[in-house]
Amino acid sequence: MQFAYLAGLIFSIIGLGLFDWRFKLGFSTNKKAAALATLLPLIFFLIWDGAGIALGIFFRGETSHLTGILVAPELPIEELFFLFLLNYTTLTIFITVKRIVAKR
Amino acid sequence: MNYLALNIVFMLIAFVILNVFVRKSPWKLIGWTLLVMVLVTLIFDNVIVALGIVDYDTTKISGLVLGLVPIEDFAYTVVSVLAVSAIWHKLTKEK
Repeated sequence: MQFAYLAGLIFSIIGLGLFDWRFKLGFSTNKKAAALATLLPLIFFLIWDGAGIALGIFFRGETSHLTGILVAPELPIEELFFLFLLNYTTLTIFITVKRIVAKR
Repeated sequence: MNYLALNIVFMLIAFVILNVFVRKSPWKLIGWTLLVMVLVTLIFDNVIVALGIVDYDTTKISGLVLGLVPIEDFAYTVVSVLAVSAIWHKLTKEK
């Protein structure tokens, strides 16, 4: 199942997107702010990943769940989706927490 | 360089950039967001390590693990919470 991980990531991102539009959270209320809040940290994380890979600290696992498509040595395409999902999850939770705190 | 030292370097860079960018952070909101995100990371990261999607050089990590996950991995979560929250908060603040 070489597409398992990528499919799981895309499925999760779409799921967050549905929550976003249903509850008017991030991209559905301010596309530019949501894009900058998720993509700027993503770029930073890619540099961090690159340093970790160059130092040999972490690397692509020996698994059949990855597509094998690399965007850089030891950096699978899945990592881009993972980092976006990480930041999008953070954004969704931050906005939800803000709303809950504001209501109390 | 080991994973902990790498994280300290990148966390310091992130803190400096964020401090230039935002002056007042909503710490209460960030604290709750961090708590939830640490739990989410704990589950997600354990799954991807268990599936063998990511692997580590055991000589370069501290050896402190939560389940299967090196404790150092949580540095990404901390920076994600600080950076995403700060940028969103700054850009959507009412004038």
